[in-house]
Amino acid sequence: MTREFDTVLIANRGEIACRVIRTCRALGLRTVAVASDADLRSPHALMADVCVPIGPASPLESYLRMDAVLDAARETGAGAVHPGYGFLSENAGFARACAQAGVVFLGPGPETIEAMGEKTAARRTMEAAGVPVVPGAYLPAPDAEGRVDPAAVQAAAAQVGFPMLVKAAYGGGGKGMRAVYRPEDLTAAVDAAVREAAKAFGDGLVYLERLIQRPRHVEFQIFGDAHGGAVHLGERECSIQRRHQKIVEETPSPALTPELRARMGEAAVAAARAVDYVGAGTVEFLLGDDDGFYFLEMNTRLQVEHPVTELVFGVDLVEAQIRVARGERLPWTQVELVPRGHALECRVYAEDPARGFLPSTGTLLVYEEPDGPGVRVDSGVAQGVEVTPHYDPMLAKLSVHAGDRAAAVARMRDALRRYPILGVTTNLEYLDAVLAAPAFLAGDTTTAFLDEHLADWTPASADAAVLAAAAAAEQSAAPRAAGPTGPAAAAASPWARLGRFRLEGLD
Amino acid sequence: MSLDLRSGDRQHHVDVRRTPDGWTVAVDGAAPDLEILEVTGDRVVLRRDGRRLTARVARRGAERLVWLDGRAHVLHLAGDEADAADVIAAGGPRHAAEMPGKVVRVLAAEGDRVAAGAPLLILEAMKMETELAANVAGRVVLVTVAAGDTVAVGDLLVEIEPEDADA
Repeated sequence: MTREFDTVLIANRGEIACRVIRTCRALGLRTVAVASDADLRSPHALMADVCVPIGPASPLESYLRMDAVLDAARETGAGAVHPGYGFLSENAGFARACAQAGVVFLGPGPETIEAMGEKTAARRTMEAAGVPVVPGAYLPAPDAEGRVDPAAVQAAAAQVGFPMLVKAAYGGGGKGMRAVYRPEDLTAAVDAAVREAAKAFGDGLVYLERLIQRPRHVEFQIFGDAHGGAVHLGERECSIQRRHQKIVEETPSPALTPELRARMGEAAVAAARAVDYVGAGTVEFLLGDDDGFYFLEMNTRLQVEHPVTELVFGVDLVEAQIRVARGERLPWTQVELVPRGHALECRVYAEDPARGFLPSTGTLLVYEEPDGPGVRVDSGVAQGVEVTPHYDPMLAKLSVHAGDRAAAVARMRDALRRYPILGVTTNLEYLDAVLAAPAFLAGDTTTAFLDEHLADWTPASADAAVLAAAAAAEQSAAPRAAGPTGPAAAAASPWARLGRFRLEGLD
Repeated sequence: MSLDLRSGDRQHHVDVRRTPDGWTVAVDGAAPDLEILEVTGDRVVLRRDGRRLTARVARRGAERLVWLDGRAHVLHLAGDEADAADVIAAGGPRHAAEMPGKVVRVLAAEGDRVAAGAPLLILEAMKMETELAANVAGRVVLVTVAAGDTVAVGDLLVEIEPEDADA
């Protein structure tokens, strides 16, 4: 069977679809986008060589429909599918369906996705491979009503002890996950997690895990090929999280000594080898304050925060995914992988940090990305685009690269302040406050960081300059007759501005 | 041009005029320490503390959205009080949707007595579930939605007739 292909279909939307399309282009590959009805005019749909509509806005009727995606691949002659992250990226059934349809799935094989996608099986595999795991207990599958046998829940809870986490076996990104501190909250938390998991991942299976208090979340990028090669590309520190979703990531982690990094890197590669991993993957660890680390899960896809790794190693992970899928060997050996400097990523969300991070929707009336040396923006929106409630509220990822951590923080803070967005509420100002916090500058980042340091955060109120700007723009937009003192550069039209010079000549 | 703008619960009177020499600015009767250099479309160039800043301004109904130096602000044209009266106060007995989304489950029925903090319904937006809890103890007198309904920000969902704590 040939692994060659000249057309890649991107089974995703938003920034990750745009990011994959860019690499495909650079490699001379033709690109096919798929788009729901809500996304037909969105940047990813317009950027690809071809765009195939695949259904209504709801993900269940569009981006999660394997048959529609594979039909689109067949129609357009796409020989490979890149799943991005989320949606079908960790769906073994989809990887298998691609293989049956003779389409290359740009990810690991279905057996690997299955083994790692079900988090309880992954825990068991890693325990067997000698990789340390968080203490936990398994639960039976929920019944048709979404109920888990209460006796089993009680027995498992007694084994784990409070506080604990209820986690979706097929989950990720904080969906289908609940922290439980008191026994009386357990049943409601399990019910809610089952419902959320069933909806987001198509399977309501959940399990319990001890809640490690004030941990750090440190993950390792791994990469394997079909010839037995396996390497790691260092760590990403992802401890700054709200609602269990990361908002700031960086590499290297301020918490790791070279010695600890080496031990965790070895464990990550051991985890990859335990499942004969092929392609890009991420091994997530919880790091306790005693430097003990525990396997959390393995993500069998490209991670949202992969740009920081690309920046410090000078690599293109999507290009490597494509090469490995074609049957080539890894483009690097472990000793060739030497990181340089420090990289940070901020996730720019349409949400209101002052109101519990509620998602914000609306039309982007002003949207302009920052640029400059060491600044990278991965986005899937543009000015004029509507942010709808159908999908994840992430607008873009802002990443920077600099010689050291302090320089990277300074570069990021400058970029955050050069990113005008109007029309939806964003977390840009909040992100700047995170980076300005003394604890962040000290590298004291744990998953409790936002609760401990930003609980009292409020946005700046409008000052005289803000009010003056509003009034000046209003004056400028008003009809000419309203201004007795001159034409006042009426509108954005160049004719209006030309008029001003003539009249001044007459004065 | 004179403009009355509301920012949060504070109202300001702003006066901006174009003169042959540039612009004059007064906010609440005082001249702030800043200079307007240029206005082009939605861009307003200012000088403050020796720094040159470009503000961006957008209109949305009676709202004026202003971005300046990394901060975004929502201002309201005064005289827009009719809108303000319609807004359901947060924390009161009338519970409104705080985000657009879908009702997953309704947990309270009309006539139910609920304690403060009791769950009323579960909303889902962007794949996250959020519980709407009772702001006050009392009797549920109105439930406007059923499971599966889509709601917009500000929609009235549940109304409670408050009870005295010692009743």
